[in-house]
Amino acid sequence: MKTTVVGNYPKIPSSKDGVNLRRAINREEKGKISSVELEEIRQKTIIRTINDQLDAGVDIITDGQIRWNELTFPMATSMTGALPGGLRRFYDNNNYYRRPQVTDLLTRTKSFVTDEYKFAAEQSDRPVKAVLCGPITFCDMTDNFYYKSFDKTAEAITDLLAEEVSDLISAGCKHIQIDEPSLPLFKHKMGLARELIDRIFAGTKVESSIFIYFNSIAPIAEGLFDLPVNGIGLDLVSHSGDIDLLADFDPDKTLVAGLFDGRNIMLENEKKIRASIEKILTYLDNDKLILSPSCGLEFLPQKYAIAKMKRMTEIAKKLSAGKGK
Amino acid sequence: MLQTTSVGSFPKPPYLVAARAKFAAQKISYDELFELEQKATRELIEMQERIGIDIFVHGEMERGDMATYFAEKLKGFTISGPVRAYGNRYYRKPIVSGDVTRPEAMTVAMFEYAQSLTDKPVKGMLTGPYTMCDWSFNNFYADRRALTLALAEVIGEEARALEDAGAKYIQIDEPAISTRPEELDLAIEAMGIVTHGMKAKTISHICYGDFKTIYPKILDLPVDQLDLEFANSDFSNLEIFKDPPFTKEIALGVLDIHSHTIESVGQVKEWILSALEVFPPEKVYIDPDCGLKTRTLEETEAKLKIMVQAVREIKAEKGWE
Repeated sequence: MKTTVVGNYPKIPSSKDGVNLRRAINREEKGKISSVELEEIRQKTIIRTINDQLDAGVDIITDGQIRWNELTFPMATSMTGALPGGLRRFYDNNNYYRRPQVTDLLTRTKSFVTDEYKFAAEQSDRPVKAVLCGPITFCDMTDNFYYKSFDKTAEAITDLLAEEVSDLISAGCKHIQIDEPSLPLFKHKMGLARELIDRIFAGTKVESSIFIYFNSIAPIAEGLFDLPVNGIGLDLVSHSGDIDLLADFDPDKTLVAGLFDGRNIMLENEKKIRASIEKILTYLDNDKLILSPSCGLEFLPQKYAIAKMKRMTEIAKKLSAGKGK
Repeated sequence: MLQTTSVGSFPKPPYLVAARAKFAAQKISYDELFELEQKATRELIEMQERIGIDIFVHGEMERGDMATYFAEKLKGFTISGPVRAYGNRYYRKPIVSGDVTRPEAMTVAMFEYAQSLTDKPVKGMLTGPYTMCDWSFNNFYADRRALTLALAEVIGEEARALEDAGAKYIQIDEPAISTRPEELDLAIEAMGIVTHGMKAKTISHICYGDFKTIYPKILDLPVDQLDLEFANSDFSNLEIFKDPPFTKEIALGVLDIHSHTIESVGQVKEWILSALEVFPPEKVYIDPDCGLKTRTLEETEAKLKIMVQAVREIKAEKGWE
């Protein structure tokens, strides 16, 4: 049974002597180190993040989004037409994001994440998944002062996401995940979402997936399972009842089951995880299931993030052994 | 009318930042650190006198994070490690690993010291039970309700200790209160335990939330005054409080504490005047959006001067002196 992670990862180490990106950013702001030195620290941090995941035995990894401050960051900092706005709470977390202000035509000035993907892929012998913020969530997290409507903004960002997906595929990327945590809040936009997701991945052969965390998928389950993607990732911790909705899951799709709480340090009880997996396997085949944390691991200090990944891969290994694989 | 104040934290002077690092590395004693915390507090009281603020804060020179500080004083907590809050800002997230109890007063000594330096009232500053729960990993209590109510008991003890020490204003911050609107009743119940029977004026500061989801229910929070951010969103959230009418005192955040830009007197006046169409002037206090600890001391003083100047001009124009 395979394992993956959702995206972000703690940027600073639990040990005192590790490379410390927080300190480096502060020192660069004060002029004590150069931007070149800061870039070295960023790269070392990404390599550590990749090694933490490889050492823990995760099969499909990410670069930990070490360069990002928030989900919209790589887009907001690589486009004309978007300015940084005030801080706003990121869903129900003690975590805050700068809300982009769309004030002009959105165009890409550079790739959103393709350069980051290339760097990470060079460091890893296992597949690196690229993650992008989906159009509905982007619009939910943005103040639009330029486009005529929510839908027009969503379409504009979708065109740029499609360009990015094409760049990623050219760079050799095989796994692309679109995060849409806001989608359950936009039941009335599911038709639009379907159209946009289709446009993002049209004509590609990449392993495409969509991940929903924090919000319950109950309002949109049917439309969500029907989206034109290969895989669907779900936070099955924040709303454990959502597991029952999988009765309607499309068995041709892969389920990325977020059963490990990315927001709490407590390690999951193996029996409980096994029970959840048994239930899920009544709805889909073993080879269509990938285990995952419920969300990015940046809500935990590094040593707890490592422990969380290890617990996940240990259970996956035992389950695979039990199935004779 | 339009009394000026601050939300709580002020930036630490470089010598104190250095001393805190040395203390953490066990290179200086607690007494040496405490002396510098007092020196910095003294300087901040002088700064507030100089600017002409009406209701003072002590500046929280002894605190790192507003939740972690209390977690380290209370029994039942340990610390997990740094977790990022936004940008390059982190907090050391507490773990609840046992029964929460309060072995001794946590904030009284520094309050008494600050109050001894000025004739102006100094606010007693606490972090509310709902926020303490929300910002910790709960590895002990059965659920969030049990933890929040246990925290309400110990924070209530501290609030009464501050009142006994002479605090006329006691602020119990609940920045997390809008995180889960479905838990607002719990936060209100917990605050009731904290403020029960208090004679001091009670205040609660709330920030970074979607007020639409908690208004007007938030008016049931058992405090005299709500301290809210407005500058951060260019006062666009003012609309929310028009209907139904706001019934408590309001402290208006008129300075964006996350921006290096110093607001203009004209801008701050315009904002305050627009707010006076929504709130009756006798119930309005003026302060920054949030704690100022992420700004430099120079930015802090410059911003607060603009705020006081704007209030003076409005009072003069309205004949409220």
